[in-house]
Amino acid sequence: MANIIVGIIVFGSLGLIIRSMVSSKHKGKTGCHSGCGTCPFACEKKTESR
Amino acid sequence: MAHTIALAGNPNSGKTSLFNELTGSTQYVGNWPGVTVEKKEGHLKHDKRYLIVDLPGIYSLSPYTLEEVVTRDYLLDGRPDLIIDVVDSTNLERNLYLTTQLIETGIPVVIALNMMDITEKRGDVIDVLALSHSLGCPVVPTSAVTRDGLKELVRVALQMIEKAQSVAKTATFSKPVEYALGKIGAFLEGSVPPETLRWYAIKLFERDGKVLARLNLGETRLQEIETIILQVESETDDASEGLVTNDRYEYLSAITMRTHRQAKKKGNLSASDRIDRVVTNRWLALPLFFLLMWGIYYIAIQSVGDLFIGWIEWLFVDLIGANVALGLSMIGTSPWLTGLVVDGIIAGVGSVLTFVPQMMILFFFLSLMEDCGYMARVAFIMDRIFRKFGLSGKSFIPMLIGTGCSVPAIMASRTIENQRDRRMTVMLTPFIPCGAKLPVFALLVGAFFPNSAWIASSMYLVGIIAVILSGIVLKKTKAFAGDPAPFVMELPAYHMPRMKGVFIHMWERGKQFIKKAGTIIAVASAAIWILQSTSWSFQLVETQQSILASLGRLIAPLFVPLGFGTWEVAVATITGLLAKETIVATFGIVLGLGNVAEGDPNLLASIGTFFTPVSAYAFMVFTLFAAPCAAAIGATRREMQSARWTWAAILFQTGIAYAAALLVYQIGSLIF
Repeated sequence: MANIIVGIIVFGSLGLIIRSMVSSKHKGKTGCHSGCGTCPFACEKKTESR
Repeated sequence: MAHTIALAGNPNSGKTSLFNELTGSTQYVGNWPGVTVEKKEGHLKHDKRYLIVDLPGIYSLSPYTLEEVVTRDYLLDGRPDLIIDVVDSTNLERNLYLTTQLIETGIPVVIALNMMDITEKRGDVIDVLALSHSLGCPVVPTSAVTRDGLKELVRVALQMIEKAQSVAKTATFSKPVEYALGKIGAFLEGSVPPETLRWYAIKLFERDGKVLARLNLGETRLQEIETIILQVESETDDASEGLVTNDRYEYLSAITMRTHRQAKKKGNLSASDRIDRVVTNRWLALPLFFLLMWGIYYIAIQSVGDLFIGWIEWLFVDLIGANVALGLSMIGTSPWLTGLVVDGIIAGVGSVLTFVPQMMILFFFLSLMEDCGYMARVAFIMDRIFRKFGLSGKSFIPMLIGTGCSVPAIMASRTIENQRDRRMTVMLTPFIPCGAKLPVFALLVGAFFPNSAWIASSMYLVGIIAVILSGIVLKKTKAFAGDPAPFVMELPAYHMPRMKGVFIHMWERGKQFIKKAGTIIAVASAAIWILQSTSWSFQLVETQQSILASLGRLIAPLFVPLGFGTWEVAVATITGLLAKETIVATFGIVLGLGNVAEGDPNLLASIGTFFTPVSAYAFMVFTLFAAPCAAAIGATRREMQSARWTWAAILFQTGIAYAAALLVYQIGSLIF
């Protein structure tokens, strides 16, 4: 039982991370994981409204 | 309906600083020209009805550079409701040159007379009312740094949007030019919006190819316009574009004479000039730069930065790792799953996060150097050196950005108009050590060279030497031959660094590094641990019989001549393609690194089996030059716009990495 619960938590979290990375890539949010706040050029497609 | 306000102005006039203040954003503010290549958008703070667009810095609306084309196309096609023209008040006349062109677009203009704090400090006086009267548009003295005048600027800007009408005065030219513009304008009536008529007429008079193509006038009409231009040119004995430029400067000169009183200089040289005499000195400049880089790396990696390593290790190994392992075993989790969580994910992520303080300290100092104006000098120094070897100084700006991350650095190369130079810059930029490579260097320096402060900083020097040598070689090939592109760069005056900006930059870098560890590194660590614990038949096995070991053994012989021919290190070179920090995570999992504090005997014991000091340095050199991470390869593909050129870049970089590491190991082994 412990294996199932921990397994779901671990692999579920890893799955969510991969999903969020893929969705960020599709949105053109960031390609380098270095962040747009410090970057003069990345995320050029993004029209930001903060 | 949302109104749009465009921020336009010369490079380094403070547009992005103003943008950040007006929108509450934390966009990157670089103290060198060309930081903004693409326009950026954000809503006005506290009023979402107004969209602010930060445009790239330009000197004119001529279509010679990418930045000029981006700005011009936006103004003509996007038609913002208002332009806030950010004018560097310390360099009034040259900045107003663009102002006159912006006014001609027919869009209402408000002038933000920026950097007034510096102008006042110099003792210069600008008659703001007279300037406003001369140009016919509101002028608001501002300082984006001290925030002076920003409220007034917003108030005036919103008032102008309400009026929705340009009342600015266009520049008047000499009689022959005005006569020609009148005639050309008459041809254009009805085919362009009336408010832009003068702008189009001037551009046609200047024989602007892009405007000619845009208007698509018939052959006969073009012939008529050409006859008018030729008539004026023969009358004045000057080219049409030159005539407009001269007349514009004469017009501006008359205005600044009336409105700008410069303080009498106490000496011939300003403080900035005096500093530059030393900093950009032919003989002192480079040694000084490398001395500074040595100092920064020393502080970041070997002194202050190293102090924090023990705390983070305690957090991950003793606190999180040990307690999670205990908790999982108490609830009866299988050893395999416990191993995946503790020895895989926590060990991998922890080994990377250990280097966060060092990375933040490095970026703190790099930000300081940039913000005070020194990095712009470095580009100037490098231009002098690069040019001797057939490279353009323009290539060095992406390389400066590359100290942070290769992806934006590769993208920055698009400002280089010459395609050959641009391709070469894309290929060579990853040779400058990016932040992601820092943990690799810090780990190996800590293990093998704890008392040699120059080892980590030598990566910077080795990177620059490789850029120069590669440039010399590539320039001799047909694909890259040709004169380097001219590089014009205005050096900003030195000033005290703005600590808020420096800390924001440092924090953003650190935050993203942590985020990266929590995403891509965590997934990679789990994958690496699974591959090193299972066989091809998906049975749990010892590491030596694992999938990872068998894959590593396939490629390991390639690295034997480089001194790191074990499968464990071979695997790390491949996982590094995902993200360079993954190399450290791989070592953390596969080599089972515990304490990575500098000079710790345990660290040397665990990593010493795989490297000697010479092979460790060869590995650092290999990591420095080898094909960059997947994201940087993607950026290379986008900028090269060719799969063939992308592969050429990857093979070139990896070839250089192999050759350099081979030389280091073979020669180093003979000497040491």
